[in-house]
Amino acid sequence: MTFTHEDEVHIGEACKLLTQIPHAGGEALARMFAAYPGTKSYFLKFGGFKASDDKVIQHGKKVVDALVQASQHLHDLEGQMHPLSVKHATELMVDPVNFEHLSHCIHVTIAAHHGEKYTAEMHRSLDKFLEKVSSVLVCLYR
Amino acid sequence: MVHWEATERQTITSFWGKVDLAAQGENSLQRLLYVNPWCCRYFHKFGDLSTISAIRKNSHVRAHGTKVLSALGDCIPHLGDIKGHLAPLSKLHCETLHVDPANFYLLGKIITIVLASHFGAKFTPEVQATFEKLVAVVAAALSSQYH
Repeated sequence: MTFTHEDEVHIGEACKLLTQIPHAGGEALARMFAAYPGTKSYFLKFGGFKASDDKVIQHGKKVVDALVQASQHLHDLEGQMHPLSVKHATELMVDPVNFEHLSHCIHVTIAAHHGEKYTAEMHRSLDKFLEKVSSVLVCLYR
Repeated sequence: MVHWEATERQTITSFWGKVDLAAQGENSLQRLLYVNPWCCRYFHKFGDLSTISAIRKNSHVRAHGTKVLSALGDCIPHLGDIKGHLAPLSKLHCETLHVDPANFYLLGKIITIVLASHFGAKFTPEVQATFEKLVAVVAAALSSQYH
């Protein structure tokens, strides 16, 4: 998968919209926990799974920070994300289907806060980016 | 048979009452075709769908998007038997339209995103979960007559 110049622009715009949302990562996680309750199985220590729960907010911030960091290295995602790929392969071992669920909830979160400012162009490029990030996170699984 | 809580039925009915079938239908189909361009394979009759501006200008997209979202809305009075209600449409999609059922799930996700865009903060995680259940049930029902 390659990112065009337009993709780079739209991914940047989408990440900007994402970071303008207070606790965006926490909200995306909370949406995922509500819509896909099986995803809670990876976070049993959280105690709560609402957008207002501290651990959800904290973990959500980690996820969004990692995504924003990755978005600045579109042409070397494998390299930039290598430590996270190792962590997911050796320690976290999250079933790959769950990255699709969280990616979907990131789109929903941005759409809910920004409406039509989240254009089809940004949606497509961000979807490409999240798909690539997901595949990098599982690339060392086997 | 799918079980629906009273709160889920209420959520679906009250939110659906505020959906603009043409606007959200068009938006949903536009995004499906642009974000997942392989879906265009089913719509050669629509003409040019090669760019987002061509998709936006395409009147068939608006008409068909409205039709699809209306059909989703028509399931709501039949929440107790969506599978039965959609059996004829499922047969049509299998035997005449030859649509890969994976597309029903893709469109369901896009519709959820478009509804979030339309309703904003009111589209809470709990409301989202209810609509995710609805679109998943509809997608499964549309797949049910495939052979």
